[in-house]
Amino acid sequence: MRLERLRLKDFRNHEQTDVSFPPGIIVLTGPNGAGKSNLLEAIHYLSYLRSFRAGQDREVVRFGTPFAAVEAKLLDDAGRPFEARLVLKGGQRYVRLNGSDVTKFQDFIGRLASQFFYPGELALLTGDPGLRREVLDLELLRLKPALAPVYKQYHSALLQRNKTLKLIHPAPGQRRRDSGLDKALAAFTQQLVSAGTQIMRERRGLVGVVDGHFSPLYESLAPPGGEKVSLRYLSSVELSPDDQVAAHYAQRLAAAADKESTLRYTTVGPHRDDLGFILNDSYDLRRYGSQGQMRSAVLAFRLALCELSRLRLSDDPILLLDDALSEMDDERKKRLLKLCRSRSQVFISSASQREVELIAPLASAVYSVEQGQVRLVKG
Amino acid sequence: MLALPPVLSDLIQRLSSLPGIGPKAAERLGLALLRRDLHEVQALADALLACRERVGDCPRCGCLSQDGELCAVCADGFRDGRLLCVVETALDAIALERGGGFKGRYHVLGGALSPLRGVLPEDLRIAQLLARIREESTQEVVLATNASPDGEATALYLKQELLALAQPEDALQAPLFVRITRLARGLPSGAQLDYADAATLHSALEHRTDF
Repeated sequence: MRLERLRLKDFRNHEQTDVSFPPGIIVLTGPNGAGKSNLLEAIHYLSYLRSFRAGQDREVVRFGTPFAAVEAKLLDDAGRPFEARLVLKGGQRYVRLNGSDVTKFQDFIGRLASQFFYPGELALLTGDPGLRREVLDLELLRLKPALAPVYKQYHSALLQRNKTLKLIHPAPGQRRRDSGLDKALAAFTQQLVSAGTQIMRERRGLVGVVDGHFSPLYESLAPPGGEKVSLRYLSSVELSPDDQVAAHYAQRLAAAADKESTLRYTTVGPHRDDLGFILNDSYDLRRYGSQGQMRSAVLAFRLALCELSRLRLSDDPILLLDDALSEMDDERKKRLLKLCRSRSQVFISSASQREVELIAPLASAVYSVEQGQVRLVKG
Repeated sequence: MLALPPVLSDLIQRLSSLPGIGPKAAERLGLALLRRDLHEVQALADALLACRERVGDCPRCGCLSQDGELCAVCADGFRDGRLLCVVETALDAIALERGGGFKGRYHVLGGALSPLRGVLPEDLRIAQLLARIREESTQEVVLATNASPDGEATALYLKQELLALAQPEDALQAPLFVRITRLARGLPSGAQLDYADAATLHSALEHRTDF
């Protein structure tokens, strides 16, 4: 995937920006607050239809203007051009792909593939497990679109089952005798188990594949020390042997019946699972890792997802690195840059002149960003 | 703006409350009715009333029928009484009839199981279904609920009820064994492969049949 041209209108501090980009490594330089991150954020927005920063859609619209627009001309790795456009207006998002309106955002997300890293990204590791499940599911649905109805089935079964639990147990610990409701619960449980088993097995398979790319990437990016970090799918259900997963899941649900009579919601299944970053095969990196190790892990994870997409979908995502090098020593900076050179297109933002000098020889273009103005410096 | 006579604007408002009819279409319909002969309008009014008063659910299957009698399918002596197709709504039965080829009878549930939307098992015509299976010595039940999550859950619910017929709680009742089938899922006929979505293709491959 390659971004050839980007146009921004009233997107944060970019009043009017129109800039073309070559493939390869692209450096964005400029003082803090100049609009480097905003430009990366715009690309991310078009890719995921939301920001990597917290906050509301309307904050993105430049103060005092009616709407913000992001327009991009892209080239996929097979050389096919396409155009995507996003307008943010009054808290609403309007998306067009090749000139036609997109109504189902789910079909659009992932079309413009990108992976990103910025200092706040540690939240992926330290934050809510929901963030990690979301990343896995997004990737899984890109690789296997046929899973979409399975997710729909699971989500529906989960909500219906939780509602049924609340009807059977009007208050914690109370129980209503109603054979109709009991059978309804059994039906939703079956539906949950059948869809949930597929999701857990697919996720575990995906994590295994990503881990194959992740471990070597982590090794080359991590601070020296020789620790090993690996990815593991942490499930509330035993996932082996493969043909027993559904049976294990059903057993776990049956065993949780007591707990469910008090909590009145479903406590076992893919909606409770997590992606673990495991240090030296036994410790949770989130608890025992240093800042540096965690940063390297998230960066390696993002790079691993790029590699997976390149190999499986012949689509190398655009890599957005926002101030990603600042806390690395020179040796690791060089290694990261070397990894970046083999990617289709990488945007690196940096406020440090010294860093820029280090990257510039490898970069295909350098742009300076000042007060929302983008200017080609070299390339 | 020209004010319409109150009786006419009342008619237009009532027409526009119908599904698929917006204010513009309602206006056109209302004005067109004004220009019709009185006896034609009378006939239309009679037809509306007669329909409302005389059409109801078939007492056996729940499809549409007239004057509380059996519907056309239930009254048809040439239908295979051993084959019963369970659908969510009467419209689904009509769709299946249009497809032709089905020689059995129908049973309308009156919706799909969805506690979230307040539809519980007791709100569906399930007790009637089980009673029919006993009375009509049904041999095969085709579960033709929608392929949606709710339809799928309803099918799973019915499967339990149908399997339970083999082990009646009431010792005096004979155990019943019915074959339970589900509509196949796959490619629409006449469809081109490259236009089918991934999920449909996946399902078509999974449910492929010997050829």
